[in-house]
Amino acid sequence: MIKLENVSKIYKGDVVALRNVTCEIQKGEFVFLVGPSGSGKSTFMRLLNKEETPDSGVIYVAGKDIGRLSGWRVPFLRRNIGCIFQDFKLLDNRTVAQNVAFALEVIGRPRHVISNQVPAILELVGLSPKAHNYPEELSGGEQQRVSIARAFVNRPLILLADEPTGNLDPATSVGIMKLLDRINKTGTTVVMATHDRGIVDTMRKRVIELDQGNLARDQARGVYE
Amino acid sequence: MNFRLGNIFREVSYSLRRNPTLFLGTLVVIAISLLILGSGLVVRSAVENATARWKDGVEFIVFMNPDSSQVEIDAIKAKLDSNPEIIAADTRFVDKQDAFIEFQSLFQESDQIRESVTVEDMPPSYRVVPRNAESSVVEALADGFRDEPGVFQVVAAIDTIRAIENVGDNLNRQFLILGAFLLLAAMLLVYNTIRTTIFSRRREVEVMRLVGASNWYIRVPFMVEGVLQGLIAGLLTLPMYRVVNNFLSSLGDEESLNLLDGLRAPSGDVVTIWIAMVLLGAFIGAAASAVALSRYLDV
Ligand SMILES: Nc1ncnc2c1ncn2[C@@H]1O[C@H](COP(=O)(O)OP(=O)(O)O)[C@@H](O)[C@H]1O
Ligand SMILES: [Mg+2]
Repeated sequence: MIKLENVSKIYKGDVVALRNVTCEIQKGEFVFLVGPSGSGKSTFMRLLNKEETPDSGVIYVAGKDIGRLSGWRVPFLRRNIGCIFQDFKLLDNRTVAQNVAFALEVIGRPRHVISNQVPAILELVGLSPKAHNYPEELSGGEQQRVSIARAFVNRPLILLADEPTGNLDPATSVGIMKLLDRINKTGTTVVMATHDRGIVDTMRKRVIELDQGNLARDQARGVYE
Repeated sequence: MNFRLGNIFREVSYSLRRNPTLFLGTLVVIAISLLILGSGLVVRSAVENATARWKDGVEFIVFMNPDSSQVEIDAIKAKLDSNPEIIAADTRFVDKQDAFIEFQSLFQESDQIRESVTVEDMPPSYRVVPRNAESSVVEALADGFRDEPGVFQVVAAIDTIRAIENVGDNLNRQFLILGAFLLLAAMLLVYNTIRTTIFSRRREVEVMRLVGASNWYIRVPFMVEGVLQGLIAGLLTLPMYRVVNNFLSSLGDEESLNLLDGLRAPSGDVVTIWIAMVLLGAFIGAAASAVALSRYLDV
């Protein structure tokens, strides 16, 4: 599903974010990406949906070399990759339901599809009662559920989660992890960057560790350290 | 690709509500620059209309009385032909019928004047081309015809008509230069409104990119905003061209065969100029927003 071959990314000012990283992630896997701040986790993810391009190396997503993808095809790549973040990135002037619907509207899904999908996905993330609330009326955990609903409503093949529990307390984080696990069980490949030792150690999934841009460890059913 | 018109207008009205002063200020500057450019063209068209009789070296016109006899008309022709100072081959006789057609086009804007005359009322005339166009020579030549039998009036182009042409040319050039500068200012303003809109909507744009909205889907609402500003500004200028035109024709005296007669752009020209300005406005808006998009919206 995802394959990196000798991928390096150097930002301007000679900041090496990734150095010669090679790894492969199978369809349906759940992978933790760990490492200290600045070790290249976010860069790893941004390379996968072509928000950044590598300086060298080849990246395959769903069997395609995304380096050869022309500009107008990139949106189609992104429709197959859901993204969630530490800061949720919700639109304040839209309700929960509208935030989720937005993701379908802007890729041209017909109205009847939207009116079916949105309630179903809100049901899945447990937010049906709050469908008509605005983000500011929700707790952090609920806001992250909205962002998960938005990322997953188009049923992407891959879900990228960049420190999704970074702003949440441990109890709320457990709920989010259960949700991500359920999404993974539907066959969606999940890649999650995190600092959270507790989460990594209890889930016992594959762990890829980055250290100053180098792939330091790749361990099945691993722990944080 | 799927654009919902409603969505696009929602975005535009959203930006109008967010920053009405910038939006309206931009609109006014585009309108003024288009107006100045357009007015230059209106003046040119009016001058062309007014001086149509004075083309091809014609320096004075001998108008015959509408009821002058054929003998009198022929006598004038003989006198013109025998004068070595006059190029007989280029000198043209305009009969009642042609004069009527010319009159109709000269005063095509005022039905009242046009309907008040018939072919029979029109004075036939000679359009005289002298060898030497110097005003003193032309004046002396023209004077020689004033007292001939059957002659109603002799009008010399002398300096007046050339002065109108010069003023027209200068005005036109100055309007074009001023208009071009203002248009540049207008483009900078459109560029800024679009940049502001992009900035105020960066979160939406970020999300749209993340979920895979196509580049054009993201771009079009911003483009529409710029184009719409130019279009609206262009549309607003129409009544102003009418005002300019009325002012020009008020300089002439419609009661007599004055030199300034018909100093007025034909309404067909005004509409053409207006449409050109609307299109120019839209183009300006599109170009400025395209530049803003390419700089601030990396999709
Ligand atoms: N857009 C950027 N421009 C320049 N340097 C960057 C950029 N993004 C990240 N970096 C640098 O690249 C390195 C890796 O960053 P990042 O991938 O964000 O790591 P992590 O997510 O593990 O904290 C850091 O040194 C960071 O400062
Ligand atoms: Mg990061």
